[in-house]
Amino acid sequence: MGMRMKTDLSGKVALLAGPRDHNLEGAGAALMAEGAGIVLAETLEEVRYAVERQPRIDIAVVNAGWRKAGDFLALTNDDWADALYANFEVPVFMMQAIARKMIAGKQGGRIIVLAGIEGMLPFSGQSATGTSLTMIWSIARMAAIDLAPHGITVNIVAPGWTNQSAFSALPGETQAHILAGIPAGRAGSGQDVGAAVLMFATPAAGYLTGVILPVDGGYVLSRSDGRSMLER
Amino acid sequence: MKLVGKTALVTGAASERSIGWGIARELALEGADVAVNDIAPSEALDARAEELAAMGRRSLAVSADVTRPERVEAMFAEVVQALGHIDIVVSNAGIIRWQHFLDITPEELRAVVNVNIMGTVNVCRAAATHMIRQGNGGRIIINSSVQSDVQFPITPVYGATKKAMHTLVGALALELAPHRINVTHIAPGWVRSPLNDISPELQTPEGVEAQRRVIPLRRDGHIDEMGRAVVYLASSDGDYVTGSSIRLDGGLAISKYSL
Ligand SMILES: NC(=O)c1ccc[n+]([C@@H]2O[C@H](COP(=O)([O-])OP(=O)(O)OC[C@H]3O[C@@H](n4cnc5c(N)ncnc54)[C@H](O)[C@@H]3O)[C@@H](O)[C@H]2O)c1
Repeated sequence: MGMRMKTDLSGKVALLAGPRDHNLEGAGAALMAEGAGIVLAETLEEVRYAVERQPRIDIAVVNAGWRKAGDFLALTNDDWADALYANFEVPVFMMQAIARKMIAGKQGGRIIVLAGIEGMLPFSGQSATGTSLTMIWSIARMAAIDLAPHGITVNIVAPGWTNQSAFSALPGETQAHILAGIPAGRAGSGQDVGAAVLMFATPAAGYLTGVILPVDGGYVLSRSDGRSMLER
Repeated sequence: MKLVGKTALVTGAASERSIGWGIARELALEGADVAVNDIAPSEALDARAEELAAMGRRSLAVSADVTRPERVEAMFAEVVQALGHIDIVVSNAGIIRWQHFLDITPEELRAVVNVNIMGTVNVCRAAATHMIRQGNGGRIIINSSVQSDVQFPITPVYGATKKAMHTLVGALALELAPHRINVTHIAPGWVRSPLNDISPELQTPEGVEAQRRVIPLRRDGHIDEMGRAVVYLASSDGDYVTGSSIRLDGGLAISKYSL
């Protein structure tokens, strides 16, 4: 399909950390297609192990992929504990272990955090998910400041409706309702997420840091579903 | 007086230099009956309740660790028993730790998240439950921080918990709007409360002066100024305000360099 920018990542090692979902798989596919070697580590322990064992890590994608919908008054403190652990504590210490490795390697590095758009704007029924996702992208931006002198960039990719199989499984009416809120008029995919991750991983992106990039077809741009208020 | 007949609970209000106390006193000045909370019983907390009583208000000192849901529920029961109902809840208790990203320990991270997020969740849940049962609407006001808008690399965990108040307040405001419960937050800048007494940046006169110089209005904020904003949000003046915040920082968030 048309012209394609050449981004050679051969010889680079990319660590994919956190739960393996459509977004992390999209990221892995994009990095692999450009020649990066892929290391998978789902848990914090696995990340620590990978960091010890690998001679180098050039790129790391850290996925804050926990979600649970539920009214605030129905969510339990166990739900909150899960959200704060999976979407904040674990990714924070994954990033810390990865950053230390990259600093020791003295070659800089690229850290890309995946944190859904529920952390960018509030939704009813998403208090725990949204709160924990806001926390991880906030702290990733502070890490970006401290890691910049080491040549390490930290950026955030915020996926919108990119779970294709979950989207297709929704009733037609729900799909239409969601699509009305996406200016691009379609659900996204892990591939869309992968393209954004790849962009931050390329050598040309060395001056980008602390960016939060929604990959959502324009979903967060407006609270409107695209029709004028008078048409409703 | 804008709050006659209203009752309020303010968490984390024991110290006379604290923002919580500034809030409690301004609410009482407008006529509200006020319960003040802190983590443990203390002479200071009792003294706050006595000062409110001396202003002619019904008042109450209720200690409870806000990270413990059963203690928070018991506290609300006690407040409602004593004051009859609860109209205004200010989730103000919070803690801070100073450590750069690479130095964060699990213990420090959990301590800050536990008080600033779980403490707020516990207080908001109890508040919403009581207000829905009462059926008269209500106001939940969280004390976040200027860090809900701009964070600093020396307090990355604290900043994350405060940034997230936008999202939590937004979600709560959406879910509780049908019950006429308005949920908002205030975002103070620099206040010389006990919280900042051990700030590594404020241990020398030069440090204090440097802090002043990044604030366009060139001074710290006063606790009564924070209280006035809460009065606005808690009174009928704030009837149409929900899901949003008021930043009270002398311009700190808009200034990049020392002036
Ligand atoms: N001082 C500032 O510059 C500043 C700026 C912005 C926001 N804030 C926020 O204002 C709020 C009030 O802080 P402050 O500056 O008045 O400091 P403070 O330390 O005087 O007040 C906080 C109070 O919360 C209490 N507390 C801590 N953990 C608790 C728990 N588990 N249960 C019950 N109470 C607990 C403390 O004992 C303390 O009395 C905090 O949420 C803080 O983050 C402060």
